[in-house]
Amino acid sequence: MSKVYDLVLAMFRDPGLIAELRDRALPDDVGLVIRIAAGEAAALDNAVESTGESSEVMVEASVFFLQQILFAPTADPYRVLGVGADAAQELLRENYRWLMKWLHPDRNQDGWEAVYADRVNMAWQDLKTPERRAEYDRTAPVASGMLPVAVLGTRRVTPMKANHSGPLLSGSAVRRLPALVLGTLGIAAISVVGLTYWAQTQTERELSEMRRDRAQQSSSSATAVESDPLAEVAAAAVEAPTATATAAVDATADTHTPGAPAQVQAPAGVPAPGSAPAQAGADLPPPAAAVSALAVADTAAAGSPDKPVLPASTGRRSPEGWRGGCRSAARSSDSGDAVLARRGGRVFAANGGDARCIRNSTNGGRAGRRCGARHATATGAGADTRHPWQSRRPPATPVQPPAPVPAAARWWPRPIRRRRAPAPLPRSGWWRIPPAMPVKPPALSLHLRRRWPRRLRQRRSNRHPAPAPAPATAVVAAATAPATSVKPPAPAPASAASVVAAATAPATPIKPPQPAPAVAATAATAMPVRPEAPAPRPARVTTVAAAPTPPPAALVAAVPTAITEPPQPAPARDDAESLVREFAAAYAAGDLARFDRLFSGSDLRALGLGDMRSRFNSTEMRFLEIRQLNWQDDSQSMRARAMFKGHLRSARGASSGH
Amino acid sequence: MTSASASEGKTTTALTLARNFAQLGRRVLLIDADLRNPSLHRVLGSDNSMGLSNFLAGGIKPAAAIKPTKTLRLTFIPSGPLPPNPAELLAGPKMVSLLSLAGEKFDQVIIDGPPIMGLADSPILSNLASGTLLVVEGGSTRIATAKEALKRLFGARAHVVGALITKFDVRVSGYGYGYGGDYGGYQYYAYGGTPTPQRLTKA
Repeated sequence: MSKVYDLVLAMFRDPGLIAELRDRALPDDVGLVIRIAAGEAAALDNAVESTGESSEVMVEASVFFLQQILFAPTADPYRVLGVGADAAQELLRENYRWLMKWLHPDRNQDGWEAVYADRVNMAWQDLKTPERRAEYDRTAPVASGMLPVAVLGTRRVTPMKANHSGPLLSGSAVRRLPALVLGTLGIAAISVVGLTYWAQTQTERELSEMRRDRAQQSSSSATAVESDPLAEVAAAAVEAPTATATAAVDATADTHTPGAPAQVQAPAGVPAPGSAPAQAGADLPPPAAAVSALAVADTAAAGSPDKPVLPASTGRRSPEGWRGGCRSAARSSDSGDAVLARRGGRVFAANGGDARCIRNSTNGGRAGRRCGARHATATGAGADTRHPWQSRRPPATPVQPPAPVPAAARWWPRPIRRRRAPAPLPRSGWWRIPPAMPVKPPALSLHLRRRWPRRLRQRRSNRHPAPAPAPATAVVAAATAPATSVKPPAPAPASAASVVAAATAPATPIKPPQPAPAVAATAATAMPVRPEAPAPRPARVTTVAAAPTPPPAALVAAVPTAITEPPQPAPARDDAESLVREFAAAYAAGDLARFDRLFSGSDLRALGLGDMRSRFNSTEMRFLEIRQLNWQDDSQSMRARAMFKGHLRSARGASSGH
Repeated sequence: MTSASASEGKTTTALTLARNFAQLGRRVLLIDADLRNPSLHRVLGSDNSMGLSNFLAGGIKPAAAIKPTKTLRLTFIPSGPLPPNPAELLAGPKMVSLLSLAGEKFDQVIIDGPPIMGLADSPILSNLASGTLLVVEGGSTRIATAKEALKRLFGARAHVVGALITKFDVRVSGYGYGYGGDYGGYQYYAYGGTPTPQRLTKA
């Protein structure tokens, strides 16, 4: 069995081998296949005998083999003739003869297989003589038997490599790329715009809240700023329980009009908490007590006990009527004074046109509405002892009518509510627009804020119950008008009241009216006087301004007072209020050096008030506010001080320029 | 010439191509190799009693299967009687021999094959042919199906020369970018005066 028969039959059964066999060299005895295809009986019988296949199969397989291998489209003449390149010339001739027997058009009538006869003839023309064969061998491109032409027909089965080197983006993705990019950009832009708008809205809201807060804080001092900045005096608080005030009035009345304490008290509308609840009514004027005290002082000054005390009892009602204790402070502010009066747990602070009322939680109801205010005269100022509240009586000196309150300034207290801390400035950032704060000069008003927590206040009020005597601390009064109106002190304990009253009495006749807007601020601290002492210890009086006549402490000491009250233990001083008072005095007087000394603490220590910085850091006095200026911490205190000083200088220059 | 699924326009496309090549002056042989649902003989108005299946089965010579057409230089081989094993016949040496002979005797041989999906015939034929053209029916063939058909053709190492969209209607499909029927200048078949493609099978 020849090897070529196996190849022929294998290729016939599996045409996929065609491509493989085309690349191989031809087997040796292709002539046998050609003879079978040509129909030679001997070769066919030999093949059938050796392979066991039928003659038809062998003929078809041979023809198929010759077609696909010899007459492949890229076969060279040697392969077409079925020989190798080194075959003998006789073998070439022999194969050509058998091929032409098979492919001759005369023997193939249909002409289909005769198409290969042309290729066989062409190959023979190239190789039929040794000369032509040598010529062909010299010019043949390749010697592999196959021409390097594109193969037509079945292709070699080669493992196909997976094409992983595709484009990054598919066609659809590329097509949608503009929409995707634009959509992403649009979404980003919309989100940026939305975020910006949100941030703006937030900032605007915060700013508006802050402005409103600041406006509420500063609306109080608007009147003072407009009227006369330098004439304003900060208020001091007086710890004066109502019962004590009543007792003081009683004592005074006993001193001068021994028979009529009830006539003094009851119309004055300062009933004891439990004794006369409904006489004056809930809307009795809070300054009634003060007025009564004033009347007492006035009476004591005039030396006539039968001077009418009663007119002060009615007080002067505002057109709206008295609605609360805070109105006393407001009333006092009408005359350009600043009063901070605390009655039994209520604190009334009036600065210029503003009245501030801080409710203490311990006192409620009618007892808390009474007002016991004590006033200290501006010693040596020659102020009229008559208070403008005593409207029924014509004043000895022409009292300047109160400056009209502008509409913008609210002199009535605003509703008591818990103040929130001012909103912090928004942090800087690209989304936060730094707020353009309204640049206003710091107002010349000092607010004392009590920022201790409620529990602390409770404890404090418990520590100082209502009937406990309060120190007769003096209130600094500043004269805004030429006709200086001096508030007489409202005596809290009888001793202090009498002391102050005695102090004011000699000062009254010698005090001339001030023609110029003199700024007189005095911080006077009247210590409680022991009743047994014939000469009560004079109050420590500090004159910070160029007051024409300093308060004669000797006069205070000289006037003997009849002390009817039992001795009271000296309570703890309200250092915070004293401190503020000192500051206010220095501020109102324009004494920059003193202000500095106060601030640095040296003067305060001299006064026994302690260090201001530490006081600021304490919870008792959280910050001292000057209009929009907050002194809260050490870092801000220096800046606030600088601004304050600058303003003081400018205010001085303006005042000296007049 | 094959397609993903049945009746997508293979026969029409093959006949049109063959006619165009014949009109170009080339000798064209059109072979209906769809031994399952032949239609070329119906289109050309010939009988199908003797054809490719007979030759593949070894009954006749190739010359006996060839039938002339009305078009000059265009001859065709009908499918013949439907054999029970078309894939075996097509995968045998007869088909290769026929294609070799036809490649020598004709300038262009166009095989109208069966669809790809579900049958093994088309991959075999596409492996034998020098190029394969995939016919896709516009508006009907699913993209996934066409992709799968291409996958199978590549698996058989076919040389896919391209795809051809048939039954394309610009007014329906619009081609996705707004070139609808309103744009008369963009209609692909508007040059001959008829706005819609003329159905060549009825010619």
